[in-house]
Amino acid sequence: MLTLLIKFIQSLVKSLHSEGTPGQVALGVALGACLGLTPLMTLHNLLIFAAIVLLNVSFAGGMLGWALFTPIGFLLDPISDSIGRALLDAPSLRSVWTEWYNIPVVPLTEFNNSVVLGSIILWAFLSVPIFFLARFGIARYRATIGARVSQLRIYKAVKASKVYNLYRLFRPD
Amino acid sequence: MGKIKIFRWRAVGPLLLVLILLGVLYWIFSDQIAETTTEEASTELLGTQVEVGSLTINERDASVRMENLEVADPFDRNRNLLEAALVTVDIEPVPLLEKKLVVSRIRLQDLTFGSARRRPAAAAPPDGFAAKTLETIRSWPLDVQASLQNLLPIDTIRSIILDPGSLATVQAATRLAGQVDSARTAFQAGVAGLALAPVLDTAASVARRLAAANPLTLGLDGTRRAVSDVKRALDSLAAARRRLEQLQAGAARGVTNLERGLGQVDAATQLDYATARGLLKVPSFSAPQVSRALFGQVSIDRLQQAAYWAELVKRYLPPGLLPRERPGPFRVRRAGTTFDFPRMKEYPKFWIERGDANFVLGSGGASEARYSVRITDLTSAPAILGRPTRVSAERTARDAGPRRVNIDAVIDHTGPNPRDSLQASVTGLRLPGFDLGPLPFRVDPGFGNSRLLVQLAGDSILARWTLQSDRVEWSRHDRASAIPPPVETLLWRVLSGVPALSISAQLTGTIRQPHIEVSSNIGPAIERRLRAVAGEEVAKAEARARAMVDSVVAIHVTPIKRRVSALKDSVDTQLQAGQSRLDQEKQRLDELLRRLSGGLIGVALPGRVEVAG
Repeated sequence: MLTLLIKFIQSLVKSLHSEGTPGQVALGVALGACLGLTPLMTLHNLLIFAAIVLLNVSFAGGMLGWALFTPIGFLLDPISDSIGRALLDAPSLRSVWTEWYNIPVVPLTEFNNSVVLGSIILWAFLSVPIFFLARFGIARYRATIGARVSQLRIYKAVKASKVYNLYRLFRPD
Repeated sequence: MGKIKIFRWRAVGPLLLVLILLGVLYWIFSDQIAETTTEEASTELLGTQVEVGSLTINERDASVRMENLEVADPFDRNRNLLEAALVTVDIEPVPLLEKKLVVSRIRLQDLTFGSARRRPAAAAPPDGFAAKTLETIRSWPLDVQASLQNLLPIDTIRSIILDPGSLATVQAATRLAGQVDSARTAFQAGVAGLALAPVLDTAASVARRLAAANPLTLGLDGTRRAVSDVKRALDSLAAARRRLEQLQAGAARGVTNLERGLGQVDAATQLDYATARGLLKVPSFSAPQVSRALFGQVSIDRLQQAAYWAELVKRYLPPGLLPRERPGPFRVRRAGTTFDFPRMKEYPKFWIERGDANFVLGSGGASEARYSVRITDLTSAPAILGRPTRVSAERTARDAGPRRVNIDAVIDHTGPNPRDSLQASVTGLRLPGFDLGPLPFRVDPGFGNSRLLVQLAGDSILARWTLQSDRVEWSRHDRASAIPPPVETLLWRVLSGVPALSISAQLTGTIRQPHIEVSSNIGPAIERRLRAVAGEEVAKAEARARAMVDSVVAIHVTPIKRRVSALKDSVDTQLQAGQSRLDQEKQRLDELLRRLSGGLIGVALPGRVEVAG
């Protein structure tokens, strides 16, 4: 529990003070939210993770989004389940699902599971407000208390650590 | 303002490193993960523990090799349903991209059946379909023990001991006791109301006073007064006598009522005898009931297994192509529901195109023979294939002989109405022995024939199991039984004299509401013997029941009869004594009156004097 908390603080600090623009950090948070909101061990999350790594977005923002939205994902599971079940059960969509179900690789995404499908839909709708809210929040933070926090010893300690060096590989240009 | 870069090319290296790391982890752990997953999924699917000794994935040939596969018997956790030394599974790789498992061929080598397990199998997940089905089948409402209870000897009427007040005799006796008390009280009151003592005292006093009187000395006037006194005393005596006679009549009526009450008590006793006979548990000895009692459990054991596997087949091989729901995969988060969307001309979710197995039956020598099993088109979506699943087992051609096992099953779920049939027969092989219900007997059928037929149409089931053997061996063990020793001895005498055994059991109805009928050649033999013994037992039991009623009656009725008799005697004695005293005093007064009147009997004296003559 303590480790998770420390990692969350690390992610928070790194993302808020990363060298990326608020938009890059917010995009990372929005993508990371997918890792938290949807069941982790799925094919689409591998793609999302690859996107966070390969795209010029904030990796720390992605980790922050993951850490922040994992508990929310658990809480929203019943809603995701209902959404997914309603969609998979809908007679009008049956032909679509049947088509997808019989396309190679697509079933590996587990789209035919109610929680997976429902949570992806939920994330798709929430990702836009998440992006804008995150961008606004980070911009405000940097304009107000960001400079003071960067002078704290703890921040400097984190920045000087080897972990930070590894992180620099993924920082936005 | 610089150009915005979309890709972070320098992260490709670390990402590739992660992917390589994942590949290495797969290479190290894939076999172990596949083995665990196979065990878990099969255990839940079959409702019994499935263990794999080792599993190796051969990616190059798209095949899986399993060693020491053990499937526990869901009905006996200390036994394996089957063991396979080696299982080879050839998998079609392309359907795996659609998360579909198509097995082009599966081979199970060196199968063995019914071997003892080193340790008891773990219970299947209780919330799984198989476990629930097993629970349903195990709780079939077929009480074969009840019919065995009917074979118990005639029971005595315990209810009489527990509640004697329920006997009509006791109730009548209680009512009579009340009548006796009332009659005694009324009689004593009547006796007190007679007031005999003053009347007799007055009469005696008059007689004493005038004993020496002489009309000559008394004179006419004195004589007239003396006669008048005597006459009054006689009148009092006459009135007392009338009262005594009235009391006598009343007492006689009371005694008659009590005697009638005693008659009612006797009639109630006869009624109680009849009731007691009705309470006797007279056994039922019909041959089907005897067969059901003796062979019902073993028949149910055999048919339950057939019904269990039939139910699983019905569940996992559903007809039609509508979307199907199943629980999602286990994860820390909610599992959700996974939907399957089968479609014609596509691969089904699961399909074994062909499976082969071989096994050896017999323990060496002439009885040993090799058998082969073949299964084709076992699939989770029969409608897609349009072909039924077929299972067959037979002795290999080179081992052909009189002893054989044949299995022929067709699972046709291609249409909207599933139709399944299974015929399995064992000819000339040693059949396993079994216990006879709760009796401490065991039968070993030896070499014989057994046949199992199962037909399923929708929810209806028809299953028939037969067993025939010409040389059975009966044995007794020391286990205590609920059957009384005389009946147990009788059953043993009959059974041990029967050399051949033939059992036929038929199960009909639905899986949830089945009905079973069992017949055997043993039933009629036992029925005849039991009927002969039962006649004697019924007579003994009736005598016991009568004695039981008599013992209760003796306690409650005899004292009442004694009291009635005592009251009657008391009434007679008291009334006779009173009458005797009255007669005695009247006689004395009559003599006195005759003497005073100087023999002028019939002469009218002053007042109204009547001289009794």
